[in-house]
Amino acid sequence: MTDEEFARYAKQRQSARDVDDARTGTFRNEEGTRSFSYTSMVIDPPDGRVPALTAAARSRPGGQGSFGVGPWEKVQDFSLYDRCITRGAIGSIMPAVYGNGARIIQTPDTVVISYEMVHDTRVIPLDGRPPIGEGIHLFMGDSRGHYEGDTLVIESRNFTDRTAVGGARHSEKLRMVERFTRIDPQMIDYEIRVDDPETFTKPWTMRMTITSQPGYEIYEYGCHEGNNAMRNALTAERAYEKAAAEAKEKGLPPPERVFQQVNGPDRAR
Amino acid sequence: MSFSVRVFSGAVATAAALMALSVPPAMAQAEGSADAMAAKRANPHWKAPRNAWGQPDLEGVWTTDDMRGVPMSRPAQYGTRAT
Repeated sequence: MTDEEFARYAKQRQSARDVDDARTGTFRNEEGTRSFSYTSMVIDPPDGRVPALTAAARSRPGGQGSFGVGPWEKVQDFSLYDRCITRGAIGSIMPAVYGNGARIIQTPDTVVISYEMVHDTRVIPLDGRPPIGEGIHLFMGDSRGHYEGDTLVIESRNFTDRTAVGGARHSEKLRMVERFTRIDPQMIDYEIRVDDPETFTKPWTMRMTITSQPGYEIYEYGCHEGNNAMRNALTAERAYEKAAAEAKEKGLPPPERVFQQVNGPDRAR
Repeated sequence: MSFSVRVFSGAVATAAALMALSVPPAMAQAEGSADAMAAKRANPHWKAPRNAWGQPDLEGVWTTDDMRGVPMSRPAQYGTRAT
């Protein structure tokens, strides 16, 4: 960034902090304390953009959250995050409007990373044990770690195809290499190499600097599916089905979907 | 409390950033590995701590709050500039 670009960015960030810190309810003090002049998380390829998706990935259905437009046949039609199950290994560390903490615990033969959001916890062996069988797939993948100088390196595989990275639902072939390097008392450089030939046309790397924050504490994570929207959506879907059946009996077209009226197709996700 | 970490593609830090930080500011080229970045960013007088087992000490509570303004993909205006 030029000095002017950075000054503008830092001013925007400070404004966001001022608003956030002045809140009296939830989401207070979640905007951090530092401004970095990173222009993107993606650092490879050099254009800083997530590579193009493969044709298979483009045709892969994405999960819908409770802001989606349905149809809602069953609870499994909602995303895993909406169902309070997981954000996935990469999603768990992606900055959101709240709950961006992660606790790292080290033992002689294990590293544990416990994320504030959803409280997903990865237990990562350092003892060189072989990976689990190829037929086993986990939301958070199967990870093995080792140290290279000042860097913790974690290699992960055996993911499901039910979580996302870079805005795309990845495949079971995803391989991920994370590198954690502490660069000063309050900062860790964190790099993630993403390799999934069934989803991205080439491997790519993203980078964040994770930091300590003054007075930051990890709070209990409470979650109700879709903030209770799941019950409402499923109930409304049944009401729609009933209305559609009644219309059909009368020889009328099905009624317009209220989901579509409220959320619009652009909000489906 | 808030302060800015000016990450340069060159090697010059502003006096304001220096004064604002309780530790020396990070300076980096974003290209290359985390190791290379860390080598360029780190305070040359600061040594990464080790824990009781001799491992790099990463233990603690960390957050990505400071990354909230950083987009996943780079806006076109920045071209190939990573910082």
